[in-house]
Amino acid sequence: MVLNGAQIVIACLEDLGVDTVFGFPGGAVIPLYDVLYDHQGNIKHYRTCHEQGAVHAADGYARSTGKVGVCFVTSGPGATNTITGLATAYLDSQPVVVISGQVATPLIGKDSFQEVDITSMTLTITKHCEMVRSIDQLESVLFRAFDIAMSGRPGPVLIDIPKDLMTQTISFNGIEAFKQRKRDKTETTGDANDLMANRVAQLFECANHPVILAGGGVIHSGAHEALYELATACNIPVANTLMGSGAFPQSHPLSLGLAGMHGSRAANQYLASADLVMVLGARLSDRVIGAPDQFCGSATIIHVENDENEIHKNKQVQVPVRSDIKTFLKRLNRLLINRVIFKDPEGSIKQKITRLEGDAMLSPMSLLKMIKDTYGDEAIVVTEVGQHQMWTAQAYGFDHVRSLITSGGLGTMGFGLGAAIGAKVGNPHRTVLHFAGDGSFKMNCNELGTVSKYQVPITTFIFNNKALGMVRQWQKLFNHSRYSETDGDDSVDFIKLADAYGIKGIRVTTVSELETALEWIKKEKQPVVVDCVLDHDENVFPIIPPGKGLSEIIEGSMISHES
Amino acid sequence: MERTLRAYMENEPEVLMRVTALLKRKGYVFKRILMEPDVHSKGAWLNITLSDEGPGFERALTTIEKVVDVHSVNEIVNQ
Repeated sequence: MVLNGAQIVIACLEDLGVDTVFGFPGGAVIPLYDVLYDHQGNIKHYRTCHEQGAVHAADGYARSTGKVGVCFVTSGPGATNTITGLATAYLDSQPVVVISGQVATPLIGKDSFQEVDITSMTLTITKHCEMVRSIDQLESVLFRAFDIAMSGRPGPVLIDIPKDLMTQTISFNGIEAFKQRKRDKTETTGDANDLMANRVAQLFECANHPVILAGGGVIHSGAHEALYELATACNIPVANTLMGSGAFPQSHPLSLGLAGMHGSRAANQYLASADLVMVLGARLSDRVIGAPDQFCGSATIIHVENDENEIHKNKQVQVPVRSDIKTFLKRLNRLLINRVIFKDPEGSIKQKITRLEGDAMLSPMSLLKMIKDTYGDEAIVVTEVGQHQMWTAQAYGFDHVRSLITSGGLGTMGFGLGAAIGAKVGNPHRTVLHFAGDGSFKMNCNELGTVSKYQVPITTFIFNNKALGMVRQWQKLFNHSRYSETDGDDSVDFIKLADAYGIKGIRVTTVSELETALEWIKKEKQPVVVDCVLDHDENVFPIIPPGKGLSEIIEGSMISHES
Repeated sequence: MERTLRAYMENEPEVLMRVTALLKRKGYVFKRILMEPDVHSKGAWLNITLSDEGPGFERALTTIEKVVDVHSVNEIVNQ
């Protein structure tokens, strides 16, 4: 069968089971979109308003489904617009494949129209990137791209295809031959043996106050059930990183909630006073550990990771375990369950964790509580970055994996709306809620055009404090309340903005208005933007100042509300 | 103290760029870089000498080892 390059790309995607693509057409990918035109029944394409939104949508799709998110963009600015999205996916280890068009081979290197060397630009923010040099490489490069994106520690891959290769033809060997091709280098994830599991089990047997810190790696490896089994059988409290939200049910009495800079007092105090800490699939970033030399200073730390480069990177640990987390936990469970039960730690956990409470005034906590009461556990929550993100991670309560979609590593403001579109497309039967700060929302609110075009029924709640709240909070706490360029931004009427896109907008300033709005939204099942007006002096507490130890917690009650 | 690693990899400029960019991002300081084709195969040998600044030589080896088009990497001793 003779196919051209663009036909091979689409045939490969179909063979790989891809049925959803996000993207934006342009000159260098016209042949690809031409073939896509004939395959709309098999591959549904969502055209976003900007390529950054397309990558975030592919990322949100990947995070919420566990499948590879795919994105098409054109050369030049189309490709450069993917950079923030790729870096976001890279820092959070998400499997995204971006297929970018490139100018035709004879034009490469001549500063041609819409020509950039995108593979050079994305070298350090992708797990892999390459430009296809001849059409006979195309199918193997694509197969390898998906394999690399999903295997071991997942990550984004960019494949750059010159336009002339999309129109050249070649004999296509067919699906079976395609499937038989293997990567010449297989990524190993390590596999801790029984000896290592025995060593860790012995440490638990000797411990008095063990704690587990669950990161995003637990979700990637599908280890959440094994973790639940271990923690509940042995009565071990579990804290989570931001990316580990939902890895262990936060409503469970053994959950300590979020650890780190904005973590709960319970999580940080347990970690600070534990004698044994088992870290599962977390890179132990500065936001989690604070001062590395003070983190869990009196504890033996076991670090279980499938990527050996993460072990000892930010914190030297006593017991490194390079292994797939699920495999390791299953071994450990066989050794520990029914042999070790720790004293009941629940009472003190309940005392110290942030719980959602109602409030007569519209506040971040009352807003979150009312939304949680309305939707329960069924919703996928997608956030932007900033105060609303931390309030959500602290207090919303995630009991299931892939229920909180958020940019943890890169902290990308403007991530949420695109990601929410991707999450809803990937999970049509689940409610998708998009939580945004007004600052984040303004960064990529153009994607309301995508929401409107495809009538994607997501609800955006803007936590509108008319300020860049998190930076403002840092200025208050650490820069003597010198609010440089963060305050008093009331330039956009979000209701009129939503209306311009044909989307219902609702402004709420009181709890009762929110109540009425939520009733209407739940009934109507259409895209909605809810502008929730909040006080700009609402801050995220507790907070541990950057570079400080986990015990140096600042509570809201310690801060003057003047100034 | 300087230490030198030697990687066998695909003979493509992108691979050289990826390896050096990754190490630069991690904070390594290069003293010497030499890439030459292997006379017996289509691959190439890359020798990189690193100064003792940066996050540790062993981590450089494991970082490079993860690059898809790098097939093997070792330290050269007794140059």
